[in-house]
Amino acid sequence: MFTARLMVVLFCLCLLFSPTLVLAKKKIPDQSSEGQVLLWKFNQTGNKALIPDISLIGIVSGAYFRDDPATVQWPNPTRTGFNLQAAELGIQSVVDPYIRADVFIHMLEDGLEVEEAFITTLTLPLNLQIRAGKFRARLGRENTQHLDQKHFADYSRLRRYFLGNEGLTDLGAELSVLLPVSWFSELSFDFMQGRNDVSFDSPRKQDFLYVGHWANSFNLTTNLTMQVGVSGAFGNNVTVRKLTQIYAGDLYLRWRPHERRGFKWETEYYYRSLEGAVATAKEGGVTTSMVYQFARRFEAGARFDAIGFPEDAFSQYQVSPILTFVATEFFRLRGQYNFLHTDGAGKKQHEAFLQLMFNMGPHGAHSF
Amino acid sequence: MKNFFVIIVLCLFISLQAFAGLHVVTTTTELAAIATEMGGVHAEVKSLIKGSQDPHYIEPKPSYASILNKADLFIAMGLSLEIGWVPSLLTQSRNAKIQRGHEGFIEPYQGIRILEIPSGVVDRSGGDIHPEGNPHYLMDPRNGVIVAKNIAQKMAELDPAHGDSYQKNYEIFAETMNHKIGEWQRVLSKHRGLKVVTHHQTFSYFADWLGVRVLDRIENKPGIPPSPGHMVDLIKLIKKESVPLVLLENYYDPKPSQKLAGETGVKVLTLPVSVNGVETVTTYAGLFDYIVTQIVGAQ
Repeated sequence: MFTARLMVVLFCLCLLFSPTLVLAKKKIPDQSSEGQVLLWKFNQTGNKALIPDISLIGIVSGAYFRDDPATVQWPNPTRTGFNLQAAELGIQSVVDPYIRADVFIHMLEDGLEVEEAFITTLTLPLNLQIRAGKFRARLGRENTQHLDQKHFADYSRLRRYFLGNEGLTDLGAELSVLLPVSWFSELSFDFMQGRNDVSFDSPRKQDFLYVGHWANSFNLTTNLTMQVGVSGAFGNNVTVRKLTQIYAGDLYLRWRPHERRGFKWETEYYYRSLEGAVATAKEGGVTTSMVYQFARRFEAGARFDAIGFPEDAFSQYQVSPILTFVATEFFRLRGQYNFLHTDGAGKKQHEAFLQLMFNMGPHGAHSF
Repeated sequence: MKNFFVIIVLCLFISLQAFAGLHVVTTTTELAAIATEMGGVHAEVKSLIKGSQDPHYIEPKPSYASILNKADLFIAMGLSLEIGWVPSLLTQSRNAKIQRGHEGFIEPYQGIRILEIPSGVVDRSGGDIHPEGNPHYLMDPRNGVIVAKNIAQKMAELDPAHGDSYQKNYEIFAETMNHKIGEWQRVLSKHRGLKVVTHHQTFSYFADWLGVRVLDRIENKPGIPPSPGHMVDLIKLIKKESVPLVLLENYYDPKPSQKLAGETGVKVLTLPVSVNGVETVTTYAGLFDYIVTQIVGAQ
């Protein structure tokens, strides 16, 4: 409860000292006044100028599973045959001089789901920023990524095991700050409802979820960038008054000499301590992937996921090579094979996907 | 030990903004070059990207957000050139001054005649088009003078104490450029009507200025590599029209141009289209000095 009050106080303070409120009192320059340069105007005319950016990303795949999954696992491919992984409708716009809004709706085979819907402040002082609404918690790196951002046809086994198929997406508020240092350093704190049926789903109404993340980015050379992050999520789980803690570390290396060559290496580690009625389960896992763009339109890579560092009752690993043909920025085809080994499962699982992704309309750039 | 730690933390948190004037950030190096000349000693100017990078396809590095965080003025080309990477950086920057519509944001193309504004049905069947028109307007140095005026006025608006200085800098720049524009036009006057093939639409304004005829482009649809059929058409065109030059922007894939050269004997002129696109081009006027010299030398 203390944290909730702290958030409210911080929010009020930020609004109080926001320079934009001062700005709002200033005379707005007259467009036609002589010598005034109002150059942010567009060639848009009439009501069209006020329509938000509307986009739709469709992700469809043909899949083969040696044994079809026992339960649905959307937005990952979930059955042998055709799969509509997602049709993501994005509606994005600056709302007023102080905030912008981003809404992403997933149209699935059997219904609609609000994937994210949040506002972001643009003008708070002291390098602060608040997001509020439903959004992806900043736990590690992969949890913040939409499926269209990924270089693979599905999410890693790591994320699916510790956070569920849809990841840790929840209602809440986030306060973040850009630290005043010479490199990019961002500290964020998420205060969320705490609804996640894999790790956090307390039946008590007063139990919330708290997530902290610290991201740092360095340009090692002109073409090589490194981003490292540490994060933690704390909240009660389905067993009354029992705590789940997840600690994550993420590392991202990006080399891009020009638009026809590039290399990405993403690695993430999760450690989870999940208290139960009798004992505490302590488990960890890792996912690491490398993708090499060897021509303007082609990239190849592989991902390795492993759960069982440390091991509790479950151990699993998966190897996933991919080949992607990027026809344009707006259309791509991807082939992926998964070899999945689960201790005690008997048979090895083989999976293969051919994924097609298309993008209509202006879809805002995702973060790095 | 405790004091040492405090000193380290203080050092980290002391802002690096020792410079007291305007902090200006631009997307491209040619905008930075013009802004540097307009700002003089009263502005510190940084470009987010390098002159050798294609401004259409930039990844929004987190370090860009840090640079934008400290800016008083942000100058972008506009016309959707940076639409794929600037909006998210502006949000991430947390800088109220430079948000779109606020005082410190400018796309300085006001007063310029924009070319190649698509008409009819505008969708991506035409490739990665710019609905508001061709954004490479700084490839005509006459437009550079207009842009310089807009930037100088914006600087004066943000920093009225040095308004006279910005105006003076603009006047010097305009006089120098107008003199050079006359020289470049004179040197290239005998090449008026020169037939060329270009890779992208980067040279449209340049061609419009000097009466160079762009017969076709290697990218027949912007942002999309040429199909084999289009390459065959280009080979036929170059042979039929006796096209002497292919102009290739130096950040694009040289293979299609090399193929054309191999099939037809056409000369491929690889040119920078931004300041610092090659080491010797360090000013906006220097960019045109280099391009004009290269074209004259290739004839």
